Amino acid sequence: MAGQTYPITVLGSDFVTPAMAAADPNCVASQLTVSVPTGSVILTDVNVIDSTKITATVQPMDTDPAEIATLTLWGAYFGPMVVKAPTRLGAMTKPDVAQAHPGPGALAKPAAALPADGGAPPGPYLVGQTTAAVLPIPVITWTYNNQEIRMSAADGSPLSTQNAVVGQQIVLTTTPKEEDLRGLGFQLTTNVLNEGDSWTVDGTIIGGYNHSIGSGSVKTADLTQTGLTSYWVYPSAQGNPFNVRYQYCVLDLNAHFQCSATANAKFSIAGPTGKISTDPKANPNISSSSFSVLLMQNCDTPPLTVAYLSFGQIQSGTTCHPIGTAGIYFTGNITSKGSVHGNVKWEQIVSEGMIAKSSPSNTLNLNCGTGLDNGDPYPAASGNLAQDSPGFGIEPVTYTSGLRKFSAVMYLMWQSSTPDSIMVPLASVQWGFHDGATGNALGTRWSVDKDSKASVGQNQAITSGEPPAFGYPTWTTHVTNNSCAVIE
Amino acid sequence: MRNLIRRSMFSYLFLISVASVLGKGQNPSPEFTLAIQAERQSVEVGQTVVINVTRQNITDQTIDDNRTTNPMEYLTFRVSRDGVPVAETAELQKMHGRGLAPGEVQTIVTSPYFAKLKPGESSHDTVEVSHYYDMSKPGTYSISALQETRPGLPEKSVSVKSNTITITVLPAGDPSAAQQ
Repeated sequence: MAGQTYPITVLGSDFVTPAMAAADPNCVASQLTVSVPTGSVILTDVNVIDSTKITATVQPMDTDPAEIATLTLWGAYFGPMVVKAPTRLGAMTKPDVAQAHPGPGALAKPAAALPADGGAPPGPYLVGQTTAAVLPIPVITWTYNNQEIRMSAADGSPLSTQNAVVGQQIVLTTTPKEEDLRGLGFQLTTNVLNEGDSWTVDGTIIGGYNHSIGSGSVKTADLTQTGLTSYWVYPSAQGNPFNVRYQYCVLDLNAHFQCSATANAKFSIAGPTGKISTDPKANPNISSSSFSVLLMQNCDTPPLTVAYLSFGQIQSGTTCHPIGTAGIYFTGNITSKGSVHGNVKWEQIVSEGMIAKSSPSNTLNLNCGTGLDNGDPYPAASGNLAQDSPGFGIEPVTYTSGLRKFSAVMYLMWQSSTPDSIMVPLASVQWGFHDGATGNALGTRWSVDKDSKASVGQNQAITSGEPPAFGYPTWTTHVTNNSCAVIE
Repeated sequence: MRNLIRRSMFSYLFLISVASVLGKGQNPSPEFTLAIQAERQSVEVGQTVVINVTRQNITDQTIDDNRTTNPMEYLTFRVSRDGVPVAETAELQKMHGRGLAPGEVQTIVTSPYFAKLKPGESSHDTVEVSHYYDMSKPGTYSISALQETRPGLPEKSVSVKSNTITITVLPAGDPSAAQQ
């Protein structure tokens, strides 16, 4: 592995120690050399222990790419040898004596040293050769705006801290590529030393936020791959950037498991904080005067006239084009320390929506559903303002009273204007009400029940989140206006 | 007395008719324009088709932009595939009280959205059209939108029609969808 030191042992027979070579002029001491195509590997502490064992130390340089290092044994040839090392080192090639060629120092040997029988001179000859793949230190690269920004140095240390924002798509790639490693005989494998993950990332990251009317869910970031596409949901603290670490692991041809050194990168993640202000102000006892009931038509042909009970003050119009003031207004207050650009969005999740309509002889119970409120994003909003005025129609004469229970959580979201960004949650408010209205037998006069009441909770800043939602609004069902199920 | 009531009713109906004719004769002009734009020009089967709708006040006065929390209550889309109108989904039908199953009842449950538009100002809706119209087959879909200026009040209302856009729904796995 690049940047790390490994002891190696060469086993065989008839190795010649320096002492033996000094004693016998026909012998040359066994020698080891190592070479790589583009990088360099330091070979030190070569020690011919005895006629069967040579030890040494190898250290590929930090900057070595994924490549093959060749270890060569020189000396008098007598038989096959085996090198034992923690990397992919197999049995040395047994050279044909006829193909053997002089190695280091061979030219210094006098021709007179040739044996009388015309055989090979004492050497040194290339006695054996084996290869070991250099497992390089990975490099992390951030692809942003079609530019590739190198994030980690050759020794794996982080280069300059880069700036990004919450919800920004961060695409990280690494080298060596999987195909390069495969070419060297390595197979990428699960990093069992890090719970299977190749990446370790500070802060809260996710792999995506999938949302439509039908469902909203958070995709967990896949930390097991050589690349990582993710989004930070919450900002880093001032002067304390998030660390990103990457390490890959391989199996060699002999199924030996080993992992690379770690590459490091740093990101400073900016992002706004948000607060939801409500009007009416947070108040556990919003009175019945916040509700109204009015005989109105809907927009069907022919129109249907109903007693329309609403949280809010409806004055006139039709149920699809009403005139009045809303029951509750939400204002998103966004603050940020740095310069971040983006847009506010809203999502509302309904947690309860029950309606009961009654006459002296009949009661109709309706479940109007839970989940996403009608649209994604929440439709009754513009910029940092949202509102809601849930209402329902009571068919006069058929029913003489109606009741409703409603509760929901409104989420303030923010989406960076960077390419391919996703929304992030900033704050939420829980609110709800129960209201009722009663009419006369003719259905011509209606009044709001005195005990109708709304409640609005306090703003909840969302600054962290645990899986699976990570602080996001999620849903698997949705609420659609005019669509309620009858409860038998 | 009965004649008097009949005469009064006749006069009342006559006045309504005149008002209606006058209303139509005055030919109310639209207060806003409607423009639609697809978030993605092509999608794969199963992916959502999302349309951004923009209303712009084209008068020199502030106008009501009151709506509801579901754009499908006040917007009508014309969606056709290769020239043939596509079916509404059960969700849209139910929302408008159509195609109710036995035991289901039409009920008015909605939430008003009160807004105003100053001269030249715009408001926006994001509509997941594929949630309300069957766009589950590959093909070329053309989409336009309509909005009444005064829903439920035909004598005062004008239908405002948007531009027509084209969206291609590609078979699943088609790589060209991701490039759009």
